[in-house]
Amino acid sequence: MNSIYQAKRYRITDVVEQTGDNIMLRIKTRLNPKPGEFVEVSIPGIGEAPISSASYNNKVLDLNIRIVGNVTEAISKLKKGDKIHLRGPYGKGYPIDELKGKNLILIAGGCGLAPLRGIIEYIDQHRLDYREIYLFFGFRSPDDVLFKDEIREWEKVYHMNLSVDEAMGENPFNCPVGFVTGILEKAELPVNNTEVLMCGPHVMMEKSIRILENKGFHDNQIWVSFERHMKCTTGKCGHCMINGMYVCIDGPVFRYDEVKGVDE
Amino acid sequence: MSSSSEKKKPRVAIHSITGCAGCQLVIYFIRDKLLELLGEIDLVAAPMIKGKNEEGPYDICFVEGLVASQRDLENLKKWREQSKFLVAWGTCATHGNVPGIKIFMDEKQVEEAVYKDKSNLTGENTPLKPTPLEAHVRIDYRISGCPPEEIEFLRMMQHFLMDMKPVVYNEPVCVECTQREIKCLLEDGKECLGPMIRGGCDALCPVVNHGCTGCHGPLEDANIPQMLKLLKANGIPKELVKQRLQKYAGAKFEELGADIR
Amino acid sequence: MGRVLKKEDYKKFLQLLKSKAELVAPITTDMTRFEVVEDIDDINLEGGNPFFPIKKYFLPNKETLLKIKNGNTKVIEKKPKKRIIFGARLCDINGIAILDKLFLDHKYPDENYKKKRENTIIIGVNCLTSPSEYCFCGSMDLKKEAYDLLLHEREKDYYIDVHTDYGAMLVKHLPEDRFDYPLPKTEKKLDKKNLWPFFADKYWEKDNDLCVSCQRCTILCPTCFCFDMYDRVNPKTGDGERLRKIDSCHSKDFTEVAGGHVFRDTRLKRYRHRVLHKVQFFEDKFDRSMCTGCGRCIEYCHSKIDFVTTINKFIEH
Repeated sequence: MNSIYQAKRYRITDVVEQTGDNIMLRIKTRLNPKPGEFVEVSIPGIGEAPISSASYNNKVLDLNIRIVGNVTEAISKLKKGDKIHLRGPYGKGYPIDELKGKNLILIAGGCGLAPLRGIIEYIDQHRLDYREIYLFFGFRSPDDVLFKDEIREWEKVYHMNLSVDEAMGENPFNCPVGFVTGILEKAELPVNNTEVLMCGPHVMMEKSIRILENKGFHDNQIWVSFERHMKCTTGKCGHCMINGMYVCIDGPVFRYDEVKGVDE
Repeated sequence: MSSSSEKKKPRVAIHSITGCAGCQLVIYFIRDKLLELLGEIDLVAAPMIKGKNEEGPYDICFVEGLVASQRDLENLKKWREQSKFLVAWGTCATHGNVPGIKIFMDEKQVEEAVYKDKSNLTGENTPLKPTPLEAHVRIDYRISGCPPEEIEFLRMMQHFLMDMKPVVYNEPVCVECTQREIKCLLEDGKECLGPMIRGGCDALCPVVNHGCTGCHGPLEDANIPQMLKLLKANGIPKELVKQRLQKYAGAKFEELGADIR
Repeated sequence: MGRVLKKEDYKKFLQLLKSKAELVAPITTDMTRFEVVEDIDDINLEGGNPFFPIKKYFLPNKETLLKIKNGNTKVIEKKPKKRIIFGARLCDINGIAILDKLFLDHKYPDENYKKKRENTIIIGVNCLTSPSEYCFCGSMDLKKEAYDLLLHEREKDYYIDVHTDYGAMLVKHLPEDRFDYPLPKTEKKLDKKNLWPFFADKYWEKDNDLCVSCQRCTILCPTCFCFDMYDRVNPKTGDGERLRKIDSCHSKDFTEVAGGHVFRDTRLKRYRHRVLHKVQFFEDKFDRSMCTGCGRCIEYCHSKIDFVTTINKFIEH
């Protein structure tokens, strides 16, 4: 018999230390969630946590885990070769087909970069389908920068704008110090035929949207991502519901004009 | 999933300061499941049941009772320093409870009434304002109850042993009471503090037709003005509600807002 | 198509039901509850709508979703008990139809719910008069669905509306009839309207002051289903179970995310969310109200907060 709550077992092929409170697991699986979709990671005995896919690849799945709760804490103790339980993929991700033929602006703050890495990997594989790619990534400090190796690669092929809020010690990326929204404000960006995808702290997204609106972007060009406490991930348990929308099945990616001004 | 062979057993202590010792007894009365649990932990200090007790460091230290004397305070501070996790176990430890009602009276008068000879109330016996643990040291987790439920101890130990941050039940008594389909006492015109008191007791008192008197202490976001109105409609004056809350909330009564004070 | 049960054969019919499976029905002691019937004479249809709706037989307050063994989760193969619910009213039965939309959802059907649903026979009774002054189902467009049989009392007999094959099998010995039974009428009515324009209305605040966050409204609602999932294991072996526990959007911790942030951080937001989920959000998605008008959330509210009156007072500007 089946159960929608039953997870399947997969093998961890690699554990990559990212920062002090982030690790990345590479898991052997063909689940291959679409960019923006997520999987539910299950640790029997501890619980479950929804984690966005950070890759686009039908052999392995990369999950960036920020250690914040019991489940992510338990995940962080797993090692290469260990088994991990996943169910999914779930959610409505980025509308990759609708984005074809357009310029893309990707804005991420902190671990919000994880789901956007998924779409960058997708773009890498379908580069001719898209036009100019602008990346705006902000982190707290140079130590907090995620996907350091990838960022160096992306720098070569895309319009990369990396920033850190503060740099007390070294700044190996030689990037500007300040909020990523400040960089965004100064950037010259094409408005026509452009879509913006953003993921990160609420404050960062709000501020970015205001800047983009000032630049002449319309709300229906902007895609935001919501973070909520998802339990069942199948549109039932009610925990992630915002005014009738289930973040787990109707999101986590929403077009901004559909969720603008949502109060609870 | 902790396999005892590869992992060191956590050093656990169950200590007590001023109180009736009933909260500790809850743990010892668990029996079967406690014996099973004892295989997974190292109960290094439990003065009530053990002759030989070790000083810290402790991984987990349960403390029942409140701080009412200089000795209590010194012990508590020591245990805090020696413990990774300090758990306030029982309403005395979390709120103040019955020993804490002294603060609502003239302290000198209370001392006169209790002690014929006050000459030894010096040194470590010096009385202090009876206050919950959090008034003196940092507390990691709180489980209230007079006494608390054994299931809350077992659940917390499960979480600790699985390296989890314990999750403590935080819903009003009404939840379990309604789920057990108990006829509502408040609706029946009786005195019941259920809506503003933390549950976890599985509606122990309402099940036997006795209103909740509030032994788990008030919830942080209790709607006290409305509760006073509802109880008043049942003929329960504010003064009585106040007394009930003072009895269990002790020093934390002061935090309940202006409506009740 | 239906059948006719003579009043003198009513008890015989109940005996038949009792012989088929575990029979639960309204039984009155200090109040009326759905309980297992030991003696059919205990069944009381006159004791008002039972305190707890029949959802408890499909979504119990606590249940095991998966077994945990040797570090894996396992599906439970056990079949639930065969059960007949007798004496449910249309509000509760419509509640099941609403729960079906979520829990029998074609993409993510919930096995636990589905198995209970398949092993439970629902025999309703139609309300000739409102069992309580708080009933307002008359304004909630109830549907004749989700039951196996439904009894409608007439002067000399009961008309039995037959809705499923199993139901038909139970009454195949009775004479046929055709009758379009009337839906219950209620004095209290919800003036249904688009509530989005009233999202920020001041009137919510008046109700909010009265709310003590006891969660009785959601626990006793025939369609409230929100739940939490957690693991309970023996720390020594790691074996145990993954459970589902009914949760409430009125609980402060309900929208808390890892790290501690709470999205619906005030009592007002939580109260408004419940009401709007019932009568607006669900309707937006499924084109029917999630509220069936049973009135329990008003009747059993400590402060008798009446969202129906509140909504009726909202006037389009």
